[in-house]
Amino acid sequence: MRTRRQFLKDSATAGIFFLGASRVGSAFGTTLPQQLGIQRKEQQVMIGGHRVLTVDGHAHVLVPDVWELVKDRVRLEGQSGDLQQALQLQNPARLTANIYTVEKRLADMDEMRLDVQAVHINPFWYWADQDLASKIVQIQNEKISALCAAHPDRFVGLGSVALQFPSLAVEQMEVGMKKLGLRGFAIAGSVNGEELSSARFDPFWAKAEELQAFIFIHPQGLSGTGDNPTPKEQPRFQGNGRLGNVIGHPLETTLALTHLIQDGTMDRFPNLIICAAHAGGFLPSYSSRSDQCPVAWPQDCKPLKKLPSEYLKQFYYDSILFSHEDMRHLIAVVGYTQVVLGTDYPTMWNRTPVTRILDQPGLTDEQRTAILGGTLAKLFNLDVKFR
Amino acid sequence: MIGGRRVRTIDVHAHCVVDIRDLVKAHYEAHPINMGGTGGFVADPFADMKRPMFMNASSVEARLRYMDENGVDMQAVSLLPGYNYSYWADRDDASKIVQRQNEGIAELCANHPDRFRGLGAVAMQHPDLAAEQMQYGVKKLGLCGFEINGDINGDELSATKFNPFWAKADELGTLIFIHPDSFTEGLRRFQGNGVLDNVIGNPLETTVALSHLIFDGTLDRYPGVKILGAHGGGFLGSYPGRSDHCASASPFCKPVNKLPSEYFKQQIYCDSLVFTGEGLRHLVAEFGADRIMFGTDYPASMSSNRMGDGRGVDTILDAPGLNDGDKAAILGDNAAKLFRIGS
Repeated sequence: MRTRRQFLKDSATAGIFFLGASRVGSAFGTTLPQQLGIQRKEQQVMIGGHRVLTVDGHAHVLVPDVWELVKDRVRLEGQSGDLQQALQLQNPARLTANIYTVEKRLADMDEMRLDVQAVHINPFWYWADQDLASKIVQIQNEKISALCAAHPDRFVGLGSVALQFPSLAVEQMEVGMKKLGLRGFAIAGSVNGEELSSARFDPFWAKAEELQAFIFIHPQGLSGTGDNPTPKEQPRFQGNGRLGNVIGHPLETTLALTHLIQDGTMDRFPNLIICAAHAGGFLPSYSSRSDQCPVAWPQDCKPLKKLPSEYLKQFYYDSILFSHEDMRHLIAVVGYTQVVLGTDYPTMWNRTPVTRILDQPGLTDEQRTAILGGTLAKLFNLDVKFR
Repeated sequence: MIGGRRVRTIDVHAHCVVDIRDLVKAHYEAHPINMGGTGGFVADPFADMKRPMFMNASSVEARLRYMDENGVDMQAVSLLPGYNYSYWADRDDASKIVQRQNEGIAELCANHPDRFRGLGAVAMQHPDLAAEQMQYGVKKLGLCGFEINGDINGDELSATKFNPFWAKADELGTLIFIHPDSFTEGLRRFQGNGVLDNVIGNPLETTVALSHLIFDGTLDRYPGVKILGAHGGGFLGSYPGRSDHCASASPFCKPVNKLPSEYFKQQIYCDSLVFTGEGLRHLVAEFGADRIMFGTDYPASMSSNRMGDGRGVDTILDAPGLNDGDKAAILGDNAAKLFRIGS
């Protein structure tokens, strides 16, 4: 199996293509603003006199076509977070993440100075049986693929997988990467109460590593219970402050990454490409408590190949933080090469993503360029030419 | 010595255990307590009285020796959470237990007034009793503050039943040390390698506790309340932006008087227990050096158990980007001012 470094090197020498075999050679970006008829010249991002590519690694879409498939069952079988996701589908006219309202999305991207978005769908189908999950994923992945095919210089596709059925998820990854031109897949922080480190998911991780798929971990509140968990689901996140989201989201991501580290998944699959939402939750910003554990309780902290915090330097993180100091700290802990632009589009978490990075004190031009899009362009295997 | 000045170092996160075995024996025999990790459930958590957090002569001697050897001039001692939190007790038992604990802490302080200050216990499950215990502890026993868990038997600290407690804390201006004892509601997710009930559960419990006090309006109602958040204020101290964003931009969040991070600048102190210089620099950059106080988690800071900060004062002295004034403030000046310890 090739390592990630070999992979990137081989790709570079072979001539990077964009969005799969059917579009080999489509020269990325060369005619992008003009072709789309959008005057974007004043919104282009320049650093040190050079046009810089911006790629948003955290952007949501929804495919309303699947509403009919899930509407009767998600209430009965899903978590409240699943229902929260799915309910958005019932009114496509008001759905800002609607995959079919492309013109609005492109206009927003222009305003936010985003050249490319990597779009994904937050999982809400982990309760579904194999047949239903298969249908949902197929429809969604084909629609995402079609969006990317229609706008190959503006969108990268991160597909869906039915992770509750790991062997099915493996097939979906094969099809998604090899036939549909997807660059990776979005998963939740746990699956029906099961940790991502469970041995049951090893086939998924093995295939993700083999395909060098970009795996985006996006939480759905703690254990899939969403922004407003019922008191029974999570009694501690009641009251003011939307704690199901504000604490639940970064907590779920923290648990996901921690289990992948502590339970040995990262040791078994060291070349995974994993990107964690919301700057990785609490974990990279509060990285060192886990390092005390092997010394304090060697009998309860089985040895890993590295200190727990060292693994944080091999994940990627989106830039959804809210102050220069928080970003400075994240970069100090994980390194600028691990931080990529993220907006959480269409939510309002980060409407000035590019400016935040351009204004971030203490970064070099090279570092800003990498964070804004350079790193994701490599990970998504994009060939970028500006005219 | 910092910048030519001798700085009195005060460790605000240092634990002790007062012998209450006769008062709790029956309870723990009927309800063995989980000591965490391979410690498992035990019926007599007080079995080994030679351990360094106890109050007998040899343990106090060992404590003083540790302090001397590690450049710690004073400790503000608090009970080791877990089996020393007696939130299960009825009013009568709770009254006796807390009295014994607080008198034990006060005795240590009286015997070594230049080495110790005391953070007492309170029976939070009986809020009016807790208010009386605080009054007595401050006025009669000379305690400087009180330690509580991040929730009380599942009730958030912001629940209205605790208003008498917060009103008294506000009136006395005494320090309330919020020390977590894991996050019971998350235990299912803390299985597997890595002692996650502590490593994640503890900073999570503090995060949830502080978030409720902020978002549910408790700190607005009692603006004189001073809180110390253990382990650097949990996750919230190092990742405050998402809460600030919600408070300022989310239509789903009822307004509070200030941004969450601003409460840290006025009502919430953090201890320094984030283990790395970069982590500490980050906390100082977020809230200011006047909001951070030196803590080691003694006896977990001893070489036999490094869940605390075994580097102690060196973590502060070596932290990047802090000036001498910042270091002196964190190591002792902030606590000296708060506890009114003269020079």
